[in-house]
Amino acid sequence: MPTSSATCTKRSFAPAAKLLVALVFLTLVNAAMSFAFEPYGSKSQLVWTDYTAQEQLDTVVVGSSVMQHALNPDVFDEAAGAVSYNMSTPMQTLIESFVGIRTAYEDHGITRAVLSLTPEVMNWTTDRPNPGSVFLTQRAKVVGPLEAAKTWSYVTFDKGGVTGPNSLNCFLPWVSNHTPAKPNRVLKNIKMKLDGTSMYKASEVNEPGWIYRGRGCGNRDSVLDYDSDEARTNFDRADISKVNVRSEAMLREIAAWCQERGIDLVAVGVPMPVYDVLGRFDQYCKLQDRIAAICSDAGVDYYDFNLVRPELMQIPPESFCDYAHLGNQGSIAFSQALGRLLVERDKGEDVRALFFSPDEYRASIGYISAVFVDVGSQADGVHVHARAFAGSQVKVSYQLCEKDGDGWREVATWQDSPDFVYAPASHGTCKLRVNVRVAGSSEPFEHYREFTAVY
Amino acid sequence: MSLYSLQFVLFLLAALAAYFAVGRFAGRGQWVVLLVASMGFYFACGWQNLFFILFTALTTWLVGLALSRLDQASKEARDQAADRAQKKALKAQFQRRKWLVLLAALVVNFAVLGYVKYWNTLLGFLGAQDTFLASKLLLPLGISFYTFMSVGYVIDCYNGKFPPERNFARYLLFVSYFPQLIQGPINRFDDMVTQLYERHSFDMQNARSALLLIGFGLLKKYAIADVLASIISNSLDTIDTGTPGSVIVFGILLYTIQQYGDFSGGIDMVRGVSQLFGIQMADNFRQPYFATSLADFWRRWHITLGTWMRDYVFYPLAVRPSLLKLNKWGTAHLGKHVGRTLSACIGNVVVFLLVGLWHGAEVHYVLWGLYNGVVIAASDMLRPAFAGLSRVLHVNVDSAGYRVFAILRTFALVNVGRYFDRLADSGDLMLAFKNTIVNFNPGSFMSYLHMHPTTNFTACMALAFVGCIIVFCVSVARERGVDANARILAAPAPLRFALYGLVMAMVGLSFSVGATGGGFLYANF
Repeated sequence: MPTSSATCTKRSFAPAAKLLVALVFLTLVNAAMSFAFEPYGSKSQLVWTDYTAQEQLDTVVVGSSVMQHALNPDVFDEAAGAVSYNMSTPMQTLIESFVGIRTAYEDHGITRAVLSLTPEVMNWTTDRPNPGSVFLTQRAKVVGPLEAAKTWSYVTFDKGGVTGPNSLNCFLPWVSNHTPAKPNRVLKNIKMKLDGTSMYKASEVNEPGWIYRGRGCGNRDSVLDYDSDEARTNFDRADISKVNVRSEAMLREIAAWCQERGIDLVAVGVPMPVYDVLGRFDQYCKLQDRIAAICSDAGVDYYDFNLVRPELMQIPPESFCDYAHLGNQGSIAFSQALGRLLVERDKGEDVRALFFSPDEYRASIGYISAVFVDVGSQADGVHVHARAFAGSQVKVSYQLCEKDGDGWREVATWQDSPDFVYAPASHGTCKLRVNVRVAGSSEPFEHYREFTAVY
Repeated sequence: MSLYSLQFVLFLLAALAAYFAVGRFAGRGQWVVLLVASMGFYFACGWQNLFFILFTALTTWLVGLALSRLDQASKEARDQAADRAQKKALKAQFQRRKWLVLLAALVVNFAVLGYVKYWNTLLGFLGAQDTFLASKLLLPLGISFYTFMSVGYVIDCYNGKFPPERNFARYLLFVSYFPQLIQGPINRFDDMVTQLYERHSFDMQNARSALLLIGFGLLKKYAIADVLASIISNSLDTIDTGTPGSVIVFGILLYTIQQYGDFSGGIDMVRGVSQLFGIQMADNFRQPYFATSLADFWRRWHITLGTWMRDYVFYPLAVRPSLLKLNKWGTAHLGKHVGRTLSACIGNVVVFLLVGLWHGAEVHYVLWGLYNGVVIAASDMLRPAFAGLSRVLHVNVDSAGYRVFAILRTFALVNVGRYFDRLADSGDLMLAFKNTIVNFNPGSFMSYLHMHPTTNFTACMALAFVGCIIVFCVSVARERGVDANARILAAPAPLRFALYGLVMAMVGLSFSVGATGGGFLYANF
């Protein structure tokens, strides 16, 4: 027979024990979900794992996926005479870039940091700090729990990450960092974790065609198809003319921190496909002016490589492997150019002269980069508005065709106007295509865009 | 302050710890902790808005006291009156004064609500939205909810339902109690008064039940409503002549699901939060999609708004002498049934017009309100005709089959109403109805969705589908009178834990595939 005090003790411990069991159970579920969904060989995992193998560094490169694709440390180091590491990762925010710079400084005492400033990073206002981001989660695995907790606390409490859903989701790492939500991808992920596949191999399986070049850099050999839906844009509906308050404050904080420690912070705009620059040119220029003003005020040199003159770097259309990123050839050219620029700059040369003004840049584009279409149906037919992106001196002609068997039948002949109205015989879907060429050209077309319209 | 955030969790844990510590060690004054927490919550959501809630609370509290004072003065005056005629005259005189005081309270509080909620829309109608007249104020959190609660309190005081609260701080807690500020429910003073101020000890069983309710709310909000948001936008945001009716119907059906998941999920969460403090807030939903008529639907959907409208608008309106006279006229000229229902029909149309306006001053909300009011009024008016038709067709209206038919019919009527609710532009609305009828075009359904792609479409749909199955099972159980919460809590541990794990996984997955953790649809009311 238990005594009354034993019963009392049992009673008071029972709820705590039940709570503990529930917590253990939920932790196990969390661990199982992480095992299944957290991708093996993610780009952040590669970056942080490889980073721990670096013995000596004087330069760190931080930024989002555009910089991870763009800067090849082997090529850059040769041109700049540096020992660098590319710590850029997909969707990296400025806070994460700052964490990267701080880590590299504390570990290696770096003297230079190259920071990529993309329109996404500077403009998107949804950039609420995510304490459970892939970058920070993977970093936590290599820096130890104390340092990870300090960073978590910084992002969560100092930077306002405590207010959003990510402040809770950071305890469920598979929420921010997961394989595509398809059963076969999840199964493949589990299999690779179990069968001894290397992290590098896994990264290339996760994204076929993507090749890890080493020291944080990875990109593709393929070339962007400007006439397919691959050629898209991140900025079609967004107003990209402004710098969001959070990004501005963060950029100033990074600049001040680097200055205090004698780190030479260089900010860079990585080249984008021409159509993406020209598509929102006025907004793009306003954004760049603002970024340049903030950098200047913060004592940081900023170079927008979209405006680079051919003397420093050639950016042919085939430099890009997709709608936002440089491919391998583009990456090599960019890495060499940036390295050369920094050498000249260190010598005290006027490197600003190596860049166009916005108007000079627009005039320098002598071709059509791509064509996009806006489609809508009204009572009188399908309305098509074509948007061709070309330099300021280029006149564009447009033609509308409809799919006819294996070929295309012209339904509106070549014209200067980018607007068409096409009335199908009945309601349903029709496959259309807009061709574009430079006015007066004898080419059948230079670019085109196919699309389906529902009428 | 987002409910799904570490900030809220820390705030809640601190409030709970202080609340139960004060209860345990001081024995009283727990309500002060709730008041401080509520003010803190409101402050964190925008300190500028404190002015509005304090103004509403202060004016309605003072009016409650004034009404009580007038009652007392009336009684004293009548006690000293010489005869019955004088007593009657005094009573009428004080009643008039009370009415004026009440009117002043209603005008002042609805004017504040009207200004912050409708002023800019009104200026928009007049083309003056960009002038200096435009208000730059953001809608204070929960202003519609706490204004209705406060006004209900004043009207109840006017009717002598309960004595007014004499302590302003206690009354302020009723108005500002933080779980109800986000999206209701519209609590009643007499339901809350004892609970808010009495002592509550921590009860593990109650906490488990509350956490289960919160988990169920999270599932509805994130794994159903939020994952559907992008698909709905892609189906309904760019309607043109070519948009197939099949896509529009699909979007509207999903919107119906999203509305329920978002609103009732949010209510479950805040009711669960309140339950952690030992305080039961009014329920706002009772399996609305099992309603057998539109009137029944509105007795199950946003229940606290419905009962508020019933008690403070419908009943007073239906017994107005002018409407009673109309009833008599109807009986004499149009028959007994019409005569009996005429005032109720007018009352319903007015109530739903106001419900529409409560949602916003835009035309589509007004149309939505009128649609609901007119359908309910017409079904009341035509009830004998429907009954006759059922007799002629030998339909057994008590059968299970007829009940299923009635549920589906009501579901269809609700969905038609959703067109008005979701499609803010009148042109889009007309086009959507037109395409639904004359251009249903199911053959282009998939093509259209491919042209307006949604990231993780299949995963979002699958997640919402599983979520809907869970909600459906719970709803069926509740409809049959089963206490689903109690059943789950009494289930064997492995089953319970599997359920908890499933909910956690589904909520987490919802953020992986599309949920953004944005606010609640009803948070801006």
